[in-house]
Amino acid sequence: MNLSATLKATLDSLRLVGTVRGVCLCRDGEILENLFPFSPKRMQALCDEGTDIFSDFVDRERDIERLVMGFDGGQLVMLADGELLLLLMHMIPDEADFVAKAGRAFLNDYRLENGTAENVVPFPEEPHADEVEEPEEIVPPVAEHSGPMTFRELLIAAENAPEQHSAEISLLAQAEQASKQVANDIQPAKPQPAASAARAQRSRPIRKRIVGEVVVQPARLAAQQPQSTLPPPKKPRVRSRRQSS
Amino acid sequence: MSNSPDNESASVDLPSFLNEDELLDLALTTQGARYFRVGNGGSRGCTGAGDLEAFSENLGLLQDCSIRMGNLLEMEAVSHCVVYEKDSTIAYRYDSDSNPRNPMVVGAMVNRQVPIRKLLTDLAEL
Repeated sequence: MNLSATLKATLDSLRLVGTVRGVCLCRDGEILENLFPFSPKRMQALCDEGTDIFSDFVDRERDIERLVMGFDGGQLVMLADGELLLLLMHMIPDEADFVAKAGRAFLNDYRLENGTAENVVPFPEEPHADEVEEPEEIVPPVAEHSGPMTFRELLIAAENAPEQHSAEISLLAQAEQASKQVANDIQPAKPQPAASAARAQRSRPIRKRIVGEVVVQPARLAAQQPQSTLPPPKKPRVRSRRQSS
Repeated sequence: MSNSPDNESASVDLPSFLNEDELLDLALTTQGARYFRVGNGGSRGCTGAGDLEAFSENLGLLQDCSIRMGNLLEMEAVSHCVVYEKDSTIAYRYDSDSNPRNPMVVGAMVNRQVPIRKLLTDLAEL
């Protein structure tokens, strides 16, 4: 498995951290990238040994994150993340925490990149135009019950089978005529004075306008709230000319 | 990863009038370091035989690991080794004040993650 160019560049920059002299990334004993100044055979032996050490700890049911060893010629930091193993060799012992943090950040980046490459769930493909089925036409059901029908059911039934429901249709027509008559008999309301009209305006419930399924409710203004939030226009200053004496 | 602040020391002054079990409980409660000294065919610790036995087992493991890696790196002189688990840190280092022909090892176990620099400084001052 090869590293991407981004991860290679990150690993190269890790080589420049502090007094780091060698970086090696391996996965299950296989070297992915080696920036140690050692021979490949020696590095392979080092990676195998490191993998064995961490697998020994895993066999003992111990979750080891980091192993730091100080030698006479430098310090070795071994970072484990699952099957990944990152070996970092640096010179100054005080840098161990900093180097380990940088290495852990690289391992997190590696996980992130591999996670996005391997574990992405594919988006479902859109069907072709000829595969798209036309939606079935929804036919309103005809009322078949014996009880009294609602107004809506009666309207639907009258539209579908006008011959069977002629009596109901005539009754509806009579009811419509009667309601029109009542509406004509109602006298128009007297004009109210301004104060009572404003009170009525305030106490009247706000109408809700229904568009489809969305209820649009108009904003309610306070009594002293101005219609516009813009500042009032400035009055031009009138300067009185001084009379020169 | 590391859940401890960098400027916090691992050493906690344990009172001397407590017995071993009480010292162990206090060290576990306060997340302080339990120190050990190994050499001359013996080992010492102030938190009881069970804790000392656990440290000896870890010391053997860490010495084995560091010697194996040191042989491959051709750096056989191991000065210290620190291992970080999820919630604990175990470390040892050679006592530089001891006789080189018969070196002593000082070690510590802390039930939290401690920065290496602080831990090694505390071990050197022990």
